[in-house]
Amino acid sequence: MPPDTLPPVLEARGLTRSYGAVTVVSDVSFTLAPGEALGVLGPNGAGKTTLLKMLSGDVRPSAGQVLFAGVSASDLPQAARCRAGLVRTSQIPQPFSGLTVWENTLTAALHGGGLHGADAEQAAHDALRRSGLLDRHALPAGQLSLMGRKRLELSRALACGPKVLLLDEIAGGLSDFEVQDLVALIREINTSGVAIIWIEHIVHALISVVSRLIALDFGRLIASGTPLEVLASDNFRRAYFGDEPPLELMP
Amino acid sequence: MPRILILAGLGLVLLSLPLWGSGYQQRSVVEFLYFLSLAMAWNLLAGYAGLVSIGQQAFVGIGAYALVVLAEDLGLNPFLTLPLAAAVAALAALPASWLLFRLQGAYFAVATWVIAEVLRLAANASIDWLGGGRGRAVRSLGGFERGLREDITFYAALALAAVAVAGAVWLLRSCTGLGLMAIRDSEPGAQAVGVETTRTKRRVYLFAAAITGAAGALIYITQINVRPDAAFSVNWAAYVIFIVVIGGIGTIEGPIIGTLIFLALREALSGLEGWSMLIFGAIAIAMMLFAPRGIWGLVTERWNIALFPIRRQMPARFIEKETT
Repeated sequence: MPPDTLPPVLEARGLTRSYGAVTVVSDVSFTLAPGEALGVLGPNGAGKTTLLKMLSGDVRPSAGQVLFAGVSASDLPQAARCRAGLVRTSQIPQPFSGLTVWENTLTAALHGGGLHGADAEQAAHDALRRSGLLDRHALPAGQLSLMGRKRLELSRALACGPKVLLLDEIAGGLSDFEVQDLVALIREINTSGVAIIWIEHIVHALISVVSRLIALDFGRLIASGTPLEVLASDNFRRAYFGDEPPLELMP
Repeated sequence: MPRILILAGLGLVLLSLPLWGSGYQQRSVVEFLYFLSLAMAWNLLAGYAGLVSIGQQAFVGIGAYALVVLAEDLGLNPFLTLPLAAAVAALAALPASWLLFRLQGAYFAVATWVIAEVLRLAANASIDWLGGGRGRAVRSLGGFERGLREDITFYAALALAAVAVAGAVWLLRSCTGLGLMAIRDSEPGAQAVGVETTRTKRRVYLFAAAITGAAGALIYITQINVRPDAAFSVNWAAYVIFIVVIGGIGTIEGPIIGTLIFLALREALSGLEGWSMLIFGAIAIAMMLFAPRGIWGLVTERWNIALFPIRRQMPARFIEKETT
């Protein structure tokens, strides 16, 4: 079934965030269908992370609403949204470095997943297996490589039992091979039924997973549609390449 | 299980101590037990919740004054005031947490001290009821025959320390414990995996306040006279920080070792008056520089042992599944 015929699992309605006189995100609206993968592009400082943080509940919108599964989530704190299935990974991985990889993931299963005892352990185990960390379960999380930390972010998010996964530049700083592994992992998570919103600068990685893109510039939504439509749009090119569209000048 | 045998043996020795020990030994163990309770409470805050307080003396003082008011003014049995002092301290900690949890790190630490100082000054102000700067004595303790009083004090101290240690172990092995350690390592990360960070921290803060308040009441059952400058003295915080840093912060075993070392050192340095504080400080700084995980940290580096295991391991059933 095409995603746009289902009622949205997540909806942003006129999301706006100002800090004093500076408006970082301005009147952004979009919907996300269950199981859909949506990419977010935009130059640095376009407001992508702030938008994601309003969805996850870290940042309170100055105006606008977040609807999760048809219900307003605007007043829910982050932990409650996480338990409801709206889960975010951090741009800079936040491992609990004094705990092992197992304990990190178990914490997510117990708190974000709302599970107890053997159920929580099963969920933590499954999350570790899916994210490729099972062999490192006893390692202190502080000793993981960067790729290991990214996997741990995904493992913890999976243990929360997400319906929607918000990924903030998770491929940043990785080698090409590592990006490939990560893309395969994220695609697997998406095909298992988890809807994804993914902010990423590495465009080829992003469009190999997402079926739809939105683009932000100066806090405004400037383009939305299939990856090709967005990448080819005048607004998008202007945001990245300036007012003179360089492709047309090329011989 | 050697661990259970060790703990049972230790418990038996302590329980029977009033039967065979001297009065001096008994009083020393009481001191050990209340310092251990104070240290366990501070260790929960700083070592597990990342809440570095230098104002826990506020709750020592509140516990002491709860003892005075409940025993002297309301005529309760002084020993029965211990759980009530714990409740009063926890009750006082609730509004304090509303203020304090808006602050982070050093600001939090200083604010805890400010609250304790405000209470010290308030108790010093000449409110006749609390005795002003000269404080008040718990006269009703005179109604007990001395041997009996010391025995009850001993068992009360033992019960308090047992609640402090068992409560800490129970809390840390629960779902809340993992949430706490997650908060300590990364508060944004903890929030992102659904940990209710404020509620979790408040739960620990109230528990630590209750233990500290009961310890405060117990301390002044042994000292009889409650003076504000002593009861709200920042020395309580300083001693307890020393104990936990020396023994090993963020472990259950650390405060036990730290309390033993602290009392032994204090005994050895008792002739040096003010110099002893200087030596304590120098030792604490040296430990922080060269062995930040304390003595128990050095022990666990060499031998993989734990008297009170609180860490989680992946259950064996999953490991077997992978290899077959």
